[in-house]
Amino acid sequence: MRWFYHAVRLFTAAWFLGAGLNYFIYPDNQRLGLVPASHDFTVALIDSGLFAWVKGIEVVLGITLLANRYMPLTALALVPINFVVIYYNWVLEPHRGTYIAGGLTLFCTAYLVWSWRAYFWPLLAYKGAAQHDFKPHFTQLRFEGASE
Amino acid sequence: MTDTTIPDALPGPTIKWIYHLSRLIFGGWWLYSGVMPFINPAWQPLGQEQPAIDFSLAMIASGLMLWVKVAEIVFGILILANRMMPLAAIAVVPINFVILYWNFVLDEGTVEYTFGALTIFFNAILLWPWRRYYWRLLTWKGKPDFSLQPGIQD
Repeated sequence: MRWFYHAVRLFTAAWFLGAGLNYFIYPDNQRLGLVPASHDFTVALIDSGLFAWVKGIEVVLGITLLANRYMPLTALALVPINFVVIYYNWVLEPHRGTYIAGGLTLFCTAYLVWSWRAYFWPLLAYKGAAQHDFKPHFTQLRFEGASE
Repeated sequence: MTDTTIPDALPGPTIKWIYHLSRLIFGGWWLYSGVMPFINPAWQPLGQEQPAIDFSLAMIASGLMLWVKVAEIVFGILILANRMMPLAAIAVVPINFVILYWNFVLDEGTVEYTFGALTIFFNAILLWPWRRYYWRLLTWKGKPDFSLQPGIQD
């Protein structure tokens, strides 16, 4: 499965890096959407300036995916961006091509998050133990069932 | 010589009470903001300046605002209940990023700057006590798990 992980990682990296850089290098090439719902949403994002931030983040995540570094944070950061990407593809501009694109986005995100799940389980702590001081507490969080 | 090192903690339960007060204010703010548009759709502030108004209307027209409001309700409840806090405190960061952008860039003004600053302040206060849960996310070269087992493995 190792090769499959790397294939998904590199595919997602290329997609993010390509989509991100394309906006800055060829801004007129940016896909605006073929129906009013998707078109209006994309144009509003671009006009607000937020789209540039999203594309900048896509470039950064594309690089970290390519390098396979900071992967726990990268996989987590993919979630909110790809939520909107999937929404765009499945709700705002639904047709066969975008259903496939949205499905691939969901699969790649889910698979990458799954691969790094050991780093995310602590986030699901129901009650947890907060530290109300100024010490950084860098020591590893330990929880029941962890293998040594 | 006066000792100028940073103390490990403030006297008594000061930090704890700052955390709980911030949690109740922020959680209540989010729950209120999330619920009100369902009760009265006209309540949703669109902004005073045209870029903010256009962005808010686009979010509403796309239907994405609905999802944001549902998230505000869910995380508002979790934060008020002080449950699943490691997840709640970090999950609100992307939404707060957009809120910050809206307040600092799209709809400038004293009130907006204040709301933006408070957003940063409260999110930081909520994240800090749960920092032990987040340090592992900053792993430079970690180890992915290629198996199908759900358990934690080295």
